[in-house]
Amino acid sequence: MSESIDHNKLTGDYKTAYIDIVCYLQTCDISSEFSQEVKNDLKDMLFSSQKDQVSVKSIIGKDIKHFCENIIEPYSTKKLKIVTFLNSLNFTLAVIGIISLMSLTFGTFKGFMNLSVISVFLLNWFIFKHLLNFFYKKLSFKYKGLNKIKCILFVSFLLLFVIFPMDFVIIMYGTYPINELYISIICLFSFIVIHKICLYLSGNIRWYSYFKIV
Amino acid sequence: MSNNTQILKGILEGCVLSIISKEITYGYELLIKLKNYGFNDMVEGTLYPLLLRLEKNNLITSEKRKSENGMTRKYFYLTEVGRKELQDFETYWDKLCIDVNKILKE
Repeated sequence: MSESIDHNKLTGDYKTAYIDIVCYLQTCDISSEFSQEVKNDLKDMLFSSQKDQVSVKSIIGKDIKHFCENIIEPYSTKKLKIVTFLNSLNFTLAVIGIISLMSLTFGTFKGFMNLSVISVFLLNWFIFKHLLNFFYKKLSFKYKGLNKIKCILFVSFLLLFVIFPMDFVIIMYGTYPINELYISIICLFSFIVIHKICLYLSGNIRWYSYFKIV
Repeated sequence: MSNNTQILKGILEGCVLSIISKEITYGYELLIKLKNYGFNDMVEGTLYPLLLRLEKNNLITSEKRKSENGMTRKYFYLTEVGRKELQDFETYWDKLCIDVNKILKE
């Protein structure tokens, strides 16, 4: 960590408030730079208020959810939400493309990859992440401390119980072999198209920036 | 008045611009200054989102410096657009005060 003070030095309500805000920001469709900036600013403000014994309420008000929503409101535009979604999709496509290309090179799957492998990967990595974010965002402010961890675990397990049977069905019935070369080409083509869309929408995206948001 | 939040939000924006125009300051210091001026309940939870909004609208800009606790702290100062906005607010406020006082004292 670059800062000489970490959030562990915040105690009691100050620490709880900071963790709540950080958790909420992680589920929001905002840029990582902006998220980091808000975390730094609030850490500094909370640390100063803790030092001066000024109440947490002075900084974040009575309703922490309302406070967080006010922060991200001007930044969480529809355009940014689309870009964030496409970023995540491009990362998934890149991983599938690289796996199929490597498999093609080393002959792991003998030139053909099952549709089920790709579907399971997409379902577990891409969809699971978004579903988890969605439910966690809805529930995160309802619980504090240990209950918050219980809430995350409960939502995760619940989603796993929903997704595992789907994985099973896909693995059992989705055994359709696809040429790895075609997969690589489709992934590469889709990656470029999505990259162009992101460039059009955002303007400052580099091809390697998709690998930063995992 | 039971719900004066919207009126106060606009006033707070003008006050924040005014304080920043006098001296470069940072978020927490600004909060304390506003509290000292008597804006106690009003600034709770509203100041930081307001500062972000002012910065996004290019009314204020920030410069990062190391604070005494070793953290990077944002110091705000007014832009030309902000200065103009403050002048407009002052003009509007003067007129509003006169008009409201006229009605109240009639």
